[in-house]
Amino acid sequence: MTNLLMVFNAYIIIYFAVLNGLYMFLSAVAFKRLPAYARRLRSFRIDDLVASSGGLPMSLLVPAYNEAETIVDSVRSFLTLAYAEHEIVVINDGSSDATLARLVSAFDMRKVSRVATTNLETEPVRCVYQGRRHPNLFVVDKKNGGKADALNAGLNYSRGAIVSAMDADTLLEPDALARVARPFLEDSRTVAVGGIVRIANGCRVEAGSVGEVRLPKKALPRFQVLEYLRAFLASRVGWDALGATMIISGAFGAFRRTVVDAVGGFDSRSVGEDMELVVRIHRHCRDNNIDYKVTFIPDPVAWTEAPETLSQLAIQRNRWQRGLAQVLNRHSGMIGRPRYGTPGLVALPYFMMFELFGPVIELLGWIAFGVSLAMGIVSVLHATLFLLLAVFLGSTLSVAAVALEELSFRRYLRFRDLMTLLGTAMLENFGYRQLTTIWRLRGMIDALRRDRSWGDMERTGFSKQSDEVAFSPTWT
Amino acid sequence: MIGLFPTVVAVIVFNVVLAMLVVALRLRSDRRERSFRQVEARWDPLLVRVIGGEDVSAPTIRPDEARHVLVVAGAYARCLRGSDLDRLQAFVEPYARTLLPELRSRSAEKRATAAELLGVLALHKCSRYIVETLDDPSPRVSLVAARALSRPEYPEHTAAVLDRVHRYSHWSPSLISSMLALVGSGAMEDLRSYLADPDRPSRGRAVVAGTLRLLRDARSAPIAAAALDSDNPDLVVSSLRLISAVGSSQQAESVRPMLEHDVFFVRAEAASVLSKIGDPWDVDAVANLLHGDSPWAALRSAKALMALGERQMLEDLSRGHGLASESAREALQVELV
Repeated sequence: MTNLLMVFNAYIIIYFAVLNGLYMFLSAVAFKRLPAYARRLRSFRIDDLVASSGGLPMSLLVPAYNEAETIVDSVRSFLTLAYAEHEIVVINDGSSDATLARLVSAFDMRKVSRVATTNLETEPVRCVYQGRRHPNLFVVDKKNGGKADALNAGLNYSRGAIVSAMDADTLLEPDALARVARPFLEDSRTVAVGGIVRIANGCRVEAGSVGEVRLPKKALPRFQVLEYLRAFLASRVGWDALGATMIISGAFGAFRRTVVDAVGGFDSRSVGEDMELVVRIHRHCRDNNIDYKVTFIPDPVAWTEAPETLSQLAIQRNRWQRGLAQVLNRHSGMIGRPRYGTPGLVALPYFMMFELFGPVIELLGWIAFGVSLAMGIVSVLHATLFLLLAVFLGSTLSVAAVALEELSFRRYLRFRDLMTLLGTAMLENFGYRQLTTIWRLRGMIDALRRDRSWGDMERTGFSKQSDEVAFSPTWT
Repeated sequence: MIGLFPTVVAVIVFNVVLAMLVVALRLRSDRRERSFRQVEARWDPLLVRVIGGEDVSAPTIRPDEARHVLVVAGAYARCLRGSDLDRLQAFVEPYARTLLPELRSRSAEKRATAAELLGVLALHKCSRYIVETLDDPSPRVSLVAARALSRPEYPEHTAAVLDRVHRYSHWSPSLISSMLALVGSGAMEDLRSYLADPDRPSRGRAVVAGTLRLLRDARSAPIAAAALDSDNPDLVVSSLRLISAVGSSQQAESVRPMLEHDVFFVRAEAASVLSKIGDPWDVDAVANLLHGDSPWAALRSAKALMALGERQMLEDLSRGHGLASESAREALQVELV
């Protein structure tokens, strides 16, 4: 028993060292990458070229299910986006509330005939509407089939060379489309681009756009602000540098239409359809020897409201974990195979080992640690030192993410907010991280039970509070 | 155990130092921003007077504020043309020259930034260096130089840029076309020669056809018609669009075979072109596309038929089911929107 515990403890220590080493490495890569990216943007200005027909037509796909509260404001904000040629395709996914009626009335829409340019299988489409005053606004009204099904219906009826999938409750910065389109213009091999998602709780939102950026007053969304900074500015930038962007957030991402068509659109059986699509694109391109790029860039910003209650957050994290489990299960054939390059050899094994099984290993580690302490295998001093190491390593990674934010985008301009973020980097280690581990663990158990539900999330709009973000797992 | 204690201490120290660095970074950024604002406040009125034609003596500039001044002047220069720009460039040229060594920096981003600023602030004096930068090992830096040289005042550099167009093969053709179009009519001869030359890369010719379309160069229509023989569908589509913009019935004969091209987007484009330059007897060939397997080609065909005045044919079709009928219905409602 003692030997077994000692071996397991040694395994946990190695696991812990590798995991934190990897995080540190990704952060270090991001420190080099972000300033270089900012200089690159400054050195070649393309706004005027894009404006003078140098751009690519883009379709914004906005699935909406019972979004009557927010949909009109959201669409108004999408209509103000600064991009030369874009259409907005809202997909009313069988809402039982007044979503469709409000859209039709607010934008003076009429029924139109519109040819489906692809034939992805979806629930039946009842009708397509077009705005009289805004001819680039369409609503596809269909029977309920879930988010991925709605996105596929949107794809069928959209015409842009680039399609951008996003949530109806997300606010895009006015230049977000132009920024997310840039990698497609800069490199014809680019097939998918992810932008950054930031948390709008605490910020001043006026007329469909985020004005003054502030930290949320409540602790729970504040922890998530830090979590998102770590996930986007350190992790995704780092993975992107390694050529292994595996996640493009469902809240805001853009894809080359031909590739999405070629892989058969979004997977309506998945609750992590955003990550699933990206992994499938990697697989498709490598299977067919297509020279391609999937990339993440940190400057196109989408704002979303984070859950403010533990129960809502638990539902969200549970779903992310189930989505991850589904994706890894479905694409397990890619793991460890050289033909899938860095995604197959490094990224997916990482997601399997540290993101999927992470909560299980972490929990077992804590149990083994407690038993070892009780049995005297580990001294109190040793245990204390190890705990301190865990807390300060976690905190250091968060501080590094804040440093990356300071070095690059500096959205939180108030000095007080900066200090609060640094304080939060320490506080999140006491309770919040443990809770997320438990929620992810539950998600894994639910994944084993083949639970495919999304869970009931509240949607009340930006002017009020509380929301959820359709999003993918990140490191926490 | 022995190793754990120093590790913990090291991590704690690192954590605290990093947090202090973040605060220091904030203070430094705030200070830099203040300093930039001060430079801006001091130089803005001066630059405005220079642009307005006043005779202003150049003040001494501190080495640490030289870059800020160039950034401020660059922002003005990007919005100016003609004599206003000439005056500003003459005024800041001595400062801009300090950027020349940066064209040899090891960092591609620094070389690109220097080329961009030199391009807007001192192209009249430094064009030789910018032309040399076209051969920079980094295609991105080369493209920044190409962008700097693509100005109506300097059409003589167009040939040099065109010789390097193949280096920008990963970039979107429409973006490069748009960039080349900035040169304007002075570039026409070089552009036409490039499009006419079958030994040039097809992708480059497609880009150039796009530029000629943006410049609406009527004399390039026959050259575009000749380029339709190419095996490269991108060049064919780009040439078709050029014919659509500036062509006439004289090119229709070359366009008609494209309705049977293997690639659907070539067929679709050909239908659109024939709706503008075709004859009434093109209707049947265009209508055939309605019954193919490509929704894009069917849709363009229906819209082309509408443009050719075949409303009745579309109305008859629209009463049925299937792709042809749906395309007809969509084409019929276009004029209602």
